[in-house]
Amino acid sequence: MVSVRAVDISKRFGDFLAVNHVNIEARDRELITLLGPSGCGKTTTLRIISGLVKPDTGEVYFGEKNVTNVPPHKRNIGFVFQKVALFPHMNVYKNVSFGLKMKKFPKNEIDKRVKEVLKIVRMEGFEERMPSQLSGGQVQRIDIARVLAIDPEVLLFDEPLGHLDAKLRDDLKYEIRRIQKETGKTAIYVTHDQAEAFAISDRVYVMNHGQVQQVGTPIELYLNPKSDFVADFIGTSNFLEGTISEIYENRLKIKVNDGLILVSEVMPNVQEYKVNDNVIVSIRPEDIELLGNLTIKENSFEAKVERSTFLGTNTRLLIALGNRILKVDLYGPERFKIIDTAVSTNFHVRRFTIIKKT
Amino acid sequence: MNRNIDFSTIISYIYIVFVSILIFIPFMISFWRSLWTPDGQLGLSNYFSMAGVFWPRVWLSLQLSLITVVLDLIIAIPAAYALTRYEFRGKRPILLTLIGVWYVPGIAYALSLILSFYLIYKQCLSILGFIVTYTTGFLPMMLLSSIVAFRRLEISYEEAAACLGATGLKRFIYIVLPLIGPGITSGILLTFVLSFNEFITAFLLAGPTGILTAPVKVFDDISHAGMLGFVAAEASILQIISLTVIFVYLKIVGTRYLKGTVFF
Repeated sequence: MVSVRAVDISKRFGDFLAVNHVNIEARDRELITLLGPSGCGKTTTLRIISGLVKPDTGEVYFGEKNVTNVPPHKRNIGFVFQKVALFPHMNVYKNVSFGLKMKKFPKNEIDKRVKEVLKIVRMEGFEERMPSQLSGGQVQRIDIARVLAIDPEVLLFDEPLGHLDAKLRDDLKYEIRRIQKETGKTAIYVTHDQAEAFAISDRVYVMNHGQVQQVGTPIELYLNPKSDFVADFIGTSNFLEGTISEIYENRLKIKVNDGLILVSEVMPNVQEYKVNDNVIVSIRPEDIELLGNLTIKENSFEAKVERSTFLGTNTRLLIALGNRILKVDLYGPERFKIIDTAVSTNFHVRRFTIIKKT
Repeated sequence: MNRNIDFSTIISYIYIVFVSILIFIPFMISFWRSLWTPDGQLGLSNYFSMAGVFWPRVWLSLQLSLITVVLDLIIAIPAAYALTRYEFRGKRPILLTLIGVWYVPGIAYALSLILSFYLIYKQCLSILGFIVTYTTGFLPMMLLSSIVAFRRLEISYEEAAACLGATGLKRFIYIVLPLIGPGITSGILLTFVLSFNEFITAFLLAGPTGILTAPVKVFDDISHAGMLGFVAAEASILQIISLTVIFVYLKIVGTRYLKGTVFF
């Protein structure tokens, strides 16, 4: 097995800078995800790692070996494409055995490997089927089997579930994670779907405008987004602009523009901030709780509920704070409460993230 | 509802039969004419009487068509691949030059080409002149159909093959060639049929070279002998060969590539 590193890679297409000095590392046996909106450079980065696109600058390493100038057919990679690339003129057996045939494996070894990988993806007995006779999910499993057959050092997935329906996506993403764990391959996965990324990744690289915005485990990214883009892209957030009015006992007191005063927890990096610094406060909807008639002095406020929508697993409230509308998600038994929209109600901010304004 | 469907089906069949009759009547008439000798006997004697002179012409035309198809394939496929898969300076002018032969009247182009090859290479007085003019003249046919085929071919198939360890040549042989079947099939058939029946270039070359292809021989015989039975036999043979080659080709390669383009 092997680690993969992309060091300071850049790629320009005409006037468009698709990838801008990106550094990525997938450690041995790790599954990392490149997550970001359309056009953020994640697919180009993956294609540079695969060798299908040559970077303008930077280098790609598999382990200690510099593979920047090695063509894809010599990199020993398994690439699962967004657009299904099963060869339509070959049956399942021929598709899965194609890579082995190219690598001149003996016939009996090919038969054995094809059987093994079809078992891994749970598609035994489909050898004679043509791609046109398979469902979307089956095609994707065969595509994965085909790349596993050549025993690649690295698995690369370019939005492989993009064209499948929601139920199938849900099943297959866990299948991909299971297969990656079972085979112990280093894998890089590209998606724009945060839930998909969080479900399968050891670490996630959030990308935007051709650059990596933040790297971390799903929990790190969710709890501590370092920019408003990451906070917004990962889940849902309420953003409030404010100024640091006081620093005491390693805590920050922030005066939010809408009159709300928020006090942070004890922060280990409090020295990074100064009084009068402008910041953005990011509050997740589920981190605002309903207080009703109870009162907590710190980080609580009064607001009128504008709308309440029951969504099954939660209830989404839209509440008015000054000129702003904040989103609040109620979970558990609270979600069944009838909220009075005529009078103001007390709310409490359980936790929030402070993002330095640039 | 059913009555409507039945009525439209009937109309469709009537239309198909009508068009088929339009196409086949001239062939049937010339075939019928070829079966009658000048002294009013019905039989195949017309076919035997011209065989010794006409069959070598047919063989020559067949050879020329096959060579044209092979050479055009060799030139058109890499050219079409480069024109669709790569961006380079002067791409459009190159494409226009390659298909430019279609933008000028056939006879003017044929004459210019023959003069050029004669003046430059002194070669048009041989069979090579036929090969060069046929190959150049029918290249657009093969090139454009190949370009369409490559444009329809998803690049991801080649990329997938590359990632699975296939070299450029192996990708071309195992993936690209089998998948561009539709373009190649229509290009091959059109180039073969049109070059086998090519008249203008062959007629212009016939004078200086003294080489007569089958269509020119038919024209020559009509000019000198009129529409006699043996001339009808020659015309029938050309039509039968064209149809037979198409039939055999489709039997071997299959008609699946022509779905949606031809009634099969």
